[in-house]
Amino acid sequence: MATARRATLPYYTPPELRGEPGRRRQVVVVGGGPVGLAAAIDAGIHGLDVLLLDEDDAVAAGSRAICWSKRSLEVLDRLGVAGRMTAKGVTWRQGRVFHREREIYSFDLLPEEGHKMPAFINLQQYYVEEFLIDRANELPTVELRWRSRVMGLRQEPDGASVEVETPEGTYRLVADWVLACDGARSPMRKMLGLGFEGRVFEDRFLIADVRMKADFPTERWFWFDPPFHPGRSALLHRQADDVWRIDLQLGPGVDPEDERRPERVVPRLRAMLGERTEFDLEWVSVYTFQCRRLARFRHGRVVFVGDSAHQVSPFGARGGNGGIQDADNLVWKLAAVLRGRASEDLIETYDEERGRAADENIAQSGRSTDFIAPQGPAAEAFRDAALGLAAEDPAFRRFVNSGRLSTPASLAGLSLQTPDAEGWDAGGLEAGVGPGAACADAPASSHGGGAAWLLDELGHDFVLLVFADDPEDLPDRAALRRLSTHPAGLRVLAVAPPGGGWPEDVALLVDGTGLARRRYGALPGTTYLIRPDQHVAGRWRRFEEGAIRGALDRACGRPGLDPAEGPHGAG
Amino acid sequence: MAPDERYQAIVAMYRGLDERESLLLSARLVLLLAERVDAATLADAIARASACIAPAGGGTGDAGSAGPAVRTP
Repeated sequence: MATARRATLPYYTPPELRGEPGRRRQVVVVGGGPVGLAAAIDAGIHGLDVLLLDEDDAVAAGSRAICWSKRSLEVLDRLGVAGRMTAKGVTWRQGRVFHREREIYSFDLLPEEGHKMPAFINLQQYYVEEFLIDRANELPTVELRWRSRVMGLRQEPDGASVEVETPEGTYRLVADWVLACDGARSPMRKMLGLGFEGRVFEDRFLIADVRMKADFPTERWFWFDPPFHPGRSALLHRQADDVWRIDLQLGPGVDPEDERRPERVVPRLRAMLGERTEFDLEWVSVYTFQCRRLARFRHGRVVFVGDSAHQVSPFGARGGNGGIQDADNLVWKLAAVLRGRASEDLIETYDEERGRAADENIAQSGRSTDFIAPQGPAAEAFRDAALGLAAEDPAFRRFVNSGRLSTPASLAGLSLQTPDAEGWDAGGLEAGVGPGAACADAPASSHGGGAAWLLDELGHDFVLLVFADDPEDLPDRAALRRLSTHPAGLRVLAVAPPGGGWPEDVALLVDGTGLARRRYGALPGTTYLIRPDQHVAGRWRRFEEGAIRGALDRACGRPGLDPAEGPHGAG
Repeated sequence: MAPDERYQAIVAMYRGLDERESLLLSARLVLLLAERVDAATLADAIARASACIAPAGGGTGDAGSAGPAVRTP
């Protein structure tokens, strides 16, 4: 059975091996998987000089990470690849959970309209990487080098250097910052001698890409103890190209090499799919998983992103999605530091914020794993009891944990955010999007009438989103001009109901459906400060220049902020 | 119900069951009762029940479910 390999990625002799002087880079990304590529693209969009190194010369073999969450798709849309992904991928939002022969419950991950991105798409990792590589190649300041393996890493006084091995020899490269996106086994982690602590699970899972014409609906199906795989769990996802992804729990103590053989795999699939279904086995892997993390993600000028920093079990799709959101969190901060608009301390907030996200992902996926692969007779008994009770009584369905699907972590209460002042709560309104939460999308139209989406209009910089029912609700222009000169940069965007009479000097988004106002809990004058990663930094019921300036200072980690001033004091 | 009767009602459930069946039965009873009490009562019962476990056992709650620390070589 051959794995479906894609086209070979090109190798070129680098200048360093042609006798030309190498040059110092702003950012070197080690690892060309989805997370490294996303980070490189984001850095390129910010105009940074970035070099990506990957030891291989092809995209992922096999589907690997397949479930891309709404939040990740929003990030990937900002990076310019989500269009291709949603076109090629399979959209889904519903799932069913079965116990033995009965369905015990179903769920819907996005029961409302009015979002550009769907709840989830399934798309094989090799497609995602292809699209990311194409996108990276469009960016003038991004360079990709394949067949380039990092063999050594050294902290330098003002950066870090890597030793790179190629088919033609080895060379050294110096960079201001090095991003370690080199995956679960992370050689860079070992080069720095970093401990990687957490739990190892002994249960093994078989995963297979199976090409077949099947009429299962496009839903995530999970089975506990099905007749076709007694005593164990199974998972089914549809992917692009009529390739289905099947995960089968094997239990501990099996021989992975033996279990991978088609002679072992095909009978298991036959039992599940029936004798009459024709299928081709495209790829098989047997894996175990761990839930663990680095204590700290930043080590001098070396920053760990994605699986190199933290690992989760796959239930809930928090691995790839967590890594994409890591990159989203980090790169705008790196850009601010490299442009002299923030001190290096801003990178500590990547560790603070994504450390919390990693803890949440580890806790959630750990709990799911404990339910799917309970360790010990007591845990097994509780799991089976929960399943039995869920079948008898809907009140117990919420105990059944086949994976809590990835949602964006909230960064509320962390350093960069400004908490709501007392006057925020207007009572009776929807809560809106709190500080530290990822922005909600909403349908809108541009002033000229063209269809738009709120998140598309936020882009990659700081934005002041001002809700106005009337031009009188718009802030004082002189104050806006002063704020716009903040070193972090600030763009202003007003959100208004349909109708004329709006001045030309403020960018406007028309909220024809009222969904933007509803989702942001907005009254006229409500103002949100939004970070380049489209998370809320702070919000107010009325535009107040001093408060906003203070929040913007805080959101880009500028030194000199007096903690005694409180969240909405200002100089 | 008098204490003796309550006690008896619980213990009688287990007659004739093997260890695995008993564990499942206990788990069902615990989950059913846990569903009916408030969080404080549950936390208190867990704390008091756990007094029978020697220290150096696993933690409770989300993050505390970490098992043995694993160091890479």
